[in-house]
Amino acid sequence: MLIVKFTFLVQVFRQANVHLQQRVPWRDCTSTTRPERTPRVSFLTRVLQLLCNRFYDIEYLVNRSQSLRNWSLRRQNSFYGYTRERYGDNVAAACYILSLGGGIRFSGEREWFWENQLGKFRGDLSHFREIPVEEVDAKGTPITYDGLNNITILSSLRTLDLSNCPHVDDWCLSRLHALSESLEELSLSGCKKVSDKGLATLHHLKKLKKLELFDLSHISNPGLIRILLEEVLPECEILGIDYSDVLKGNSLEEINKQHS
Amino acid sequence: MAAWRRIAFRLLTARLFRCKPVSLGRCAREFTSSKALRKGNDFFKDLESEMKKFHEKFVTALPGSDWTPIHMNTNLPPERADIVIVGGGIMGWAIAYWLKKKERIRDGVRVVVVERDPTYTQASTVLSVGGIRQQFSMPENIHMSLFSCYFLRNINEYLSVMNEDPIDVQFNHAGYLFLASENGAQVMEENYHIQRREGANVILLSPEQLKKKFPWINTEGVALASYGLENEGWFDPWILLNAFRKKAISMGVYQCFGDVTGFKTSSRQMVTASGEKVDFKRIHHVIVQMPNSAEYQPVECALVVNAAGAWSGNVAQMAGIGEDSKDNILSMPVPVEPRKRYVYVFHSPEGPGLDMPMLIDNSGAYARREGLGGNYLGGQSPTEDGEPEVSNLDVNYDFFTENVWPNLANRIPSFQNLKVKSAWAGYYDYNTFDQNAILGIHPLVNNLYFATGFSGHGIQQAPAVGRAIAELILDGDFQTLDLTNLGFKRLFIGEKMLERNIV
Repeated sequence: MLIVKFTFLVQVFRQANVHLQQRVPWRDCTSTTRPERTPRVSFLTRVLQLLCNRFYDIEYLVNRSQSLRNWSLRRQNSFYGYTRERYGDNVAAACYILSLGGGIRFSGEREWFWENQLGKFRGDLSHFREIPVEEVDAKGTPITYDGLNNITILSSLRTLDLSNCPHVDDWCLSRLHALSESLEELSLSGCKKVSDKGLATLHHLKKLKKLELFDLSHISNPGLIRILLEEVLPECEILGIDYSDVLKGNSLEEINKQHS
Repeated sequence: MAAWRRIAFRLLTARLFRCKPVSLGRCAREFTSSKALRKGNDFFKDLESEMKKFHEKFVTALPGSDWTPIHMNTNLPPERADIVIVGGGIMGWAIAYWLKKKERIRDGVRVVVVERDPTYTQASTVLSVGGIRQQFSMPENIHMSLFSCYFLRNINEYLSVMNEDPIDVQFNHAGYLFLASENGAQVMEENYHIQRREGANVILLSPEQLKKKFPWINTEGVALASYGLENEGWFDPWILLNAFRKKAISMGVYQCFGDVTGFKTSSRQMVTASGEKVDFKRIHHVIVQMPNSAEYQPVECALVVNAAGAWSGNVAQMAGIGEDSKDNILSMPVPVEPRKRYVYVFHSPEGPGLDMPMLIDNSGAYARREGLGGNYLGGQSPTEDGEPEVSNLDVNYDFFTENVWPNLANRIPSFQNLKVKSAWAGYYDYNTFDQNAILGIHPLVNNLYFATGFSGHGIQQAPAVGRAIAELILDGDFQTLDLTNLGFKRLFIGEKMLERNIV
């Protein structure tokens, strides 16, 4: 009985529906307006809208990629502790510099050690346990503050070339006092993060004979720095800064005019 | 216009109709209305302008407009917060930043930082000379300083906000040079051993070595010198404060400019093991008063952090610490009071050059280079009985001429020829008990944390202290640096943790 009633009701509803549809066309019956078709927006606008909606996710991704870069930089600059224990300071420093893509020369040797194209370097480094490293060429390498742990242990380093290293800043320069007994030539050309405060820390390097400071255009008073450095390092020859670079662009005549 | 006149006319007649007795009848109505009409145009003009104003206000008050008779003050702090930090100096913002960094879910804790003065005219942070050193005698201080150096070195990893410039705190790596006479040489050597053991890079210099390294020093009376080679120097505290603030606000910390005028507390009588009755208090609301107004907002909170610097004693008193006359723990006030210190800027044409560190003489006078133009900063801590009064920040230049200059000129002969350019004064949040920080929770006020009493070396310990308090709050105990020795316990048992190397 119930089933019969149920099917009967269903039939009634179906017929009513059909009637409704026949009597009143669907389009006129609606109380809400049908949404118009959105105009075609360009792909770029849609991409930008998507990015805008997901701001926090994008921020998180950007922060993660930055921390990933920092982590990989740290890994490259890790301390070669095991190598140092096994083979000594000099070999550890050599391995480190070579892995970064720099060059190294031992004292007494004429040839430089470099990485070859395959990223490998000569395996007979272990023979150089006792021979101190004399020159380090770290041009353009990603050397950082932590990486200097491997270099400051060298007790008879004479030349250090840190030009165009993007991560060398004032903190790195403050560590170079450990090389004050032996360092004679230092090059900091093109290091964008070095400022006059970092250059002030070079007063520890009493044996320094040559200091190269080319392309340091972001320092505010290069001529003044040169004068002050020459005061504290009397035997050092400072290259790359002209005395007339007192203020960027202005010549001495203009400054005299301003003051008078 | 005609419509107005009609409305006005109807209103007028309606009013007159109400006022006059009905018996007067129609003629009275007509008579009075015509009289009103005869009065002239000014009446209607005034009425028109009044009506216009009313109409405008009426339209704005209709739904759909944003006029409301209730004016909300948007500068009020939120009504409920998890942690309220009293004081917006470097400590307050460092704690806020680390709290947000350590919360494991987004908006895990709601932090409100309440600062009284948005211009920071009297705050110790911005008036500080900004030095950082590891030459302390307490290992806790050395480690806090070392971590702060690490933090400043990698400041962009910690505090960089997207789309903002990288942060540069202008760190000068010049080192600190402490000089000791015969009496202090023994203490200096002991300190040196402690510092080297904890990882600070410090060397001891004899007078001959000192003269060789710094030829401009007069080594008369110097028995020993202690020189920091790395991680010591000075930086700009305002940049650090702003970096913390921007990053903390970007992470969701609420900043409120207002004065904390009181706490609403509840207390419970408890009996200690020895039978003594103590009041166990808990803070429920922080009453924040808006600047230049009587308006206040009670902020319901779970925890309160007292980072109010030189005025921490007052804030603690609001919570009832130090007010009781009974002789129990709660009656002991927090021993932090403001002490005024002067800093003088002077120019000396023959002064030491780039190699000048922050020199601290055995007489207590200090001087350091400022910039590249031959300017120097100098000062001295006054003796106990010569403490200047602290009601304002006026500078006493006689103090320089009488006390500071003779000492400096004696030590650095080229300073005999100098000219004072300017000076300023700032407050130390001086811990009269043992001149070291007070970090931790108060034993009787259950949810009040303290980060105060730094006595002049707060700025160099701020990142470490921020992390320590955040660990106390969120993890329950110190995780990285164990600073229990700097807690409240030493105040009650009377054990002084003296720092022997105070400038």
